[in-house]
Amino acid sequence: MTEVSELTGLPLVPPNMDEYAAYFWSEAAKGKLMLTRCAEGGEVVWVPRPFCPAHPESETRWAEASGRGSVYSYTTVYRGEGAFADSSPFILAYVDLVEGCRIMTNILGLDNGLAVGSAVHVVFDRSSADFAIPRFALDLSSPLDRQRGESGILARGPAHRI
Amino acid sequence: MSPKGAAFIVGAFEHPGRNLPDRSVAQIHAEVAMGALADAGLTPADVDGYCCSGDAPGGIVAMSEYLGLNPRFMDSTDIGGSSYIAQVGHAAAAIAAGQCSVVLITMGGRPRTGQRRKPAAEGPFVSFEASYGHSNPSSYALAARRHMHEFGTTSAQLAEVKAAAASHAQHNPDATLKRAVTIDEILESPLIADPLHRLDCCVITDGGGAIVMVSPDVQRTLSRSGVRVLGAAEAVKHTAFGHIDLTHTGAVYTGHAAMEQAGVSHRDIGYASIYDSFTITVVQTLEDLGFCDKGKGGWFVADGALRAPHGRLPFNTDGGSLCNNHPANRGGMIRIIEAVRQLRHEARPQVQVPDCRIALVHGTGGWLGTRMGSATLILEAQDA
Repeated sequence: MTEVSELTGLPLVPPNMDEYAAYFWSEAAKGKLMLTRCAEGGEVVWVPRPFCPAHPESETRWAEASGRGSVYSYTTVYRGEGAFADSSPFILAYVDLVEGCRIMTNILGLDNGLAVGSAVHVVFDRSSADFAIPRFALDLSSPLDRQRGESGILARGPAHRI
Repeated sequence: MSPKGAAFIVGAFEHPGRNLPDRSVAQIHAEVAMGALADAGLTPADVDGYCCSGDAPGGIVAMSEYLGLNPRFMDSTDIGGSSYIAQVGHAAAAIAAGQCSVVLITMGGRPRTGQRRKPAAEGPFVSFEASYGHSNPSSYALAARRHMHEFGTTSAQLAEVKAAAASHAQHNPDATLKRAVTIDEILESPLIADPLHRLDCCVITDGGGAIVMVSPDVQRTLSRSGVRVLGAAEAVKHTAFGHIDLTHTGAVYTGHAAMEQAGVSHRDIGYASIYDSFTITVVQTLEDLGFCDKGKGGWFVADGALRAPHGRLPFNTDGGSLCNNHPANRGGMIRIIEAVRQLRHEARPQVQVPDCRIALVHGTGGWLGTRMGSATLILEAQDA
């Protein structure tokens, strides 16, 4: 059984640490949202990969993202599947990071005025120091904002559904 | 070598079952194989080419053994539900090259009474999607939301795709959902992943289908009329290194390429089989194939264009995946089979398109919300 976050009600699916992108997850556990950028052209290569197809002779380098972005699309999922079967409803989304890439994520909270274009910021959902899942919360008055610790990492809080 | 006109579909068989708790998937492959070969007037001994997809039990070698085949051409391309549409192009090229002369393509599955879906092999992206609950309906819902945002597409327009499919399915005694449904009924069905309702989704069925393709030399020995393969194209569309556009599909490439190869234009197409995993899939595909401008797909379908026999572009006259049949969660094979019925003038009489000479088949295998394998075929009635 996949563990469910007490803070968000969402499953904490352990990441696959056998891929190149394992570094992304080990940094996420420290509260950092990492991207790869082409060392030659500077463009973001997402999902993280060690190469850039536009400059195959070059490498990519890890860089920390700001964690700020806006919603490109979203859906409220009423019938989750697999690890998410008992977590519905929840919001699946694509967020455009200000660094210039579009990433799949969850937006925390429901019925809070979310729209295409809404400004969001990253939060790190976790239950232990082992790993964290970066998700996003609406800027301004998101309930999660009030729970953010100084590091931007969600602290353990009372079990409730946001 | 261009496969244009070098191969014919001469046999087609759709399993009549939608609930098959007592069959193995291998048995379903065998039943549809024998059905399609019988339709063509051929036997397993005549087969020298074989295609199934990656989900076939034991893989293509075990399936060849199970069916008693000795193929000299084989293809187990797995691009989800569009695999079989792509394989028609591959088989036509192999026949044109002289590699084989009788190709059997089979598919089957039991997502309704058996295992719903084999777990996908873990690709390099799995943690960046599975961590967030990405699923089939939610993936297509992300695309629908963005399409609505950019173009003003409405839920009622999407619902017309289902209503048109249901208007066809009511004439198909084998269909899973064989009654007309209203736009209101669709809009009032529960949300699965908004803006998609339950009735925006395809049915889940057991079953399968098969087709047989042959060279012109073999075709001349057969009594059944065949369907000529005029054009075939395939493409991958993906998230493009963090720049996915949710409003278009791989049909942007494959539609143009297949029609150019066939030497036909949109006004030549009398019937379209469009893989309809969800209503939004059809709207985006119609735009990308060029039947209307980008963003106008909702308006294109809204006035009944898809309704047979007299709409501007009759589609999925068996009821499609939305109402008839979606065996193994892979809709492409049944889309080919209904196009063959239309071109042989063997569709149900209420939905047979008069004088149907050229048909288009398009498949979207995978997800609108991440990546897909797209394939388009242009088929022509033999007597045209």
